[in-house]
Amino acid sequence: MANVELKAVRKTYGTAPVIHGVTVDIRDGEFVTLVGPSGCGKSTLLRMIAGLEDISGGEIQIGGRTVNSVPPKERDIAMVFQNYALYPHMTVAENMGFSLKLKKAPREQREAGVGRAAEILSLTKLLDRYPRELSGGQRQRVAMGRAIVRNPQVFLFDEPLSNLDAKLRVQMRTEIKELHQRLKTTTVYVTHDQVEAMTMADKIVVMHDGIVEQVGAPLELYNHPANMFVAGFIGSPAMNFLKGRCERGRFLLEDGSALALPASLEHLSSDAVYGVRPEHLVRSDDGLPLTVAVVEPTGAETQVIARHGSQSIVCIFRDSVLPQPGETIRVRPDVSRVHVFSERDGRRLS
Amino acid sequence: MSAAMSSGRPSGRFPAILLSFVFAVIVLGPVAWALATSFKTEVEAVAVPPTLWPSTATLENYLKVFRDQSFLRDFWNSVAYSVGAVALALLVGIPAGYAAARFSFKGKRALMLTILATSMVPGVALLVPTFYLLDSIGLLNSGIVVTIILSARIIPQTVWFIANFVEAVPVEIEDSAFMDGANRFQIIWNLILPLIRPGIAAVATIGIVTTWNDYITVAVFAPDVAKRTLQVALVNQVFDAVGISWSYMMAFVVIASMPVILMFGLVQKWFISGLTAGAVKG
Repeated sequence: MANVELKAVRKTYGTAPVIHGVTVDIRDGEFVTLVGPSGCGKSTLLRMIAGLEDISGGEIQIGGRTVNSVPPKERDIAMVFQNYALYPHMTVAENMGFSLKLKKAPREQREAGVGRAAEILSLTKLLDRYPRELSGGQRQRVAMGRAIVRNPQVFLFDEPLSNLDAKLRVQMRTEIKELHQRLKTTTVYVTHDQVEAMTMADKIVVMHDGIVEQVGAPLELYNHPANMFVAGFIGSPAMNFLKGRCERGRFLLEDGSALALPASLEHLSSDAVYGVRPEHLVRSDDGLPLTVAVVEPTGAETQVIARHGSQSIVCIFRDSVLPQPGETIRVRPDVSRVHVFSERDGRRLS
Repeated sequence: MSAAMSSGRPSGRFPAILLSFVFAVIVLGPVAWALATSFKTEVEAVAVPPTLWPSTATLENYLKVFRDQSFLRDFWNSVAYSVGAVALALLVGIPAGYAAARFSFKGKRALMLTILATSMVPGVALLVPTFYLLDSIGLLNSGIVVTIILSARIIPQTVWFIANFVEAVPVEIEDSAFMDGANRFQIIWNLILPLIRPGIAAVATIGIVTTWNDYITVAVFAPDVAKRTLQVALVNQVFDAVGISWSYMMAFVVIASMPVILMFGLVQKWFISGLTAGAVKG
């Protein structure tokens, strides 16, 4: 196991910069997810850690050793790819033992290594099968087994669950987390799915356009997002953003309606964006009037998409009384969970 | 699903079946005629009106071909030139095709188009200058030189084919192998070659057919009787003989075609698609 340090890491393709000086410290044994929308540079950053992409600037350290120009095989890391990347002409056992074969490990050692990994991942009965004879989940487990066999210092996962169906994704998510708890190997996990990031990580790195927007524990990002991007990205459904102005201790929407502000911002007087999560809106007779557009009950809760003027607002209610489309409901935000962002640069003010 | 639904309307398929039959007759007719003639006596082979099937089948023509002392030598030359040329083409074409598929470099497209363009130059146009060149440096009648020239003719198509087959192998498989500790050579040897085996088989078959059936290259650059191939020997039969024995010649043609037909039979299983199924999520 080892810590991984990224110091002002940059990547440019030709003259186009894609990673702009990323600095992240990943501690020994930590499970860190790199999360962000498509094209934010998270996979590129992971491939740079793996050694599959050159580093244009900065420094990457694994276990205290600078690895900028160290080839992948000498970095003592293993990677699981989004599309499995299994060797189709090799059996499961051959796939998993390929790295040991390249190291010219004796047959007994290879068999022992493959057997141990297969046992961990419940693949023992499938060792003689070919990848084409496996289901998606089994293939992904083989890909993980191939990584485990090498007993690396660091595991890298590049969106490993994206190709699985929803049910299997949840199951594999748990398996990967359990695996990490068992092996305690430092893990860097790339995903565009914020739920995956929230549920699995010790620490989340939120990326956007090649920069790190915020680094923190899942609930820290949820409760204290640094800016509108993180606030909108973390949490599902996404946070509601309402444009308006802070004035005399209240937040005035464009139509003149007023919302309560946190005590710390009562002195503020400027244009701003009011952020409130759907689950932090409660029904109240003296609340903001909304016209219900769509009602989506899921059993445990009901998601209501409503309009206030031209503004669409999403609410989540846990009560069993369902509003009807066209009905007017009144909601007020839980002021202790409200965020206010700068209208100019999206930074969180509260 | 009923049989009628699964096979379509028989009346609707009739034109297609008829067309296929006409094509089959056009393509296989001469082959069948040659095969039938090879089993006839010479008298029957030239009889008017001609007979479709031999009235008394004989193996005499085949025995005559095998008894000919030069046959084995000519056969060996054909095998050596073809196999040598294809092996050389693969030796050059696999690394070149891999590089074309996996590496980006300045002028790659222009280089690949140039390679393709060289295969479009008619071989006959290069015949005379190449002959004078080889003659002036004393390399006529060299089996190695003939092999290299034959190989040069199939290298462009080999490079292009291999490049396309390598491109079809997901690059993540190579990334994964890099992570597993493989170097470039190990990746080509352990992963790429097994995965593009159907492609290699296809390229090799086309190469063998092209070089095996070559007449002009060998006839011009290796005029020595000891260096000739079956194809040259066959043509020599036509021109050298006082009276052409058609039944003997047809037996010769059948024997000369047999290795290529056998090769098709042998490599057929490698043409099966879907070898890469299961490698990556489709």
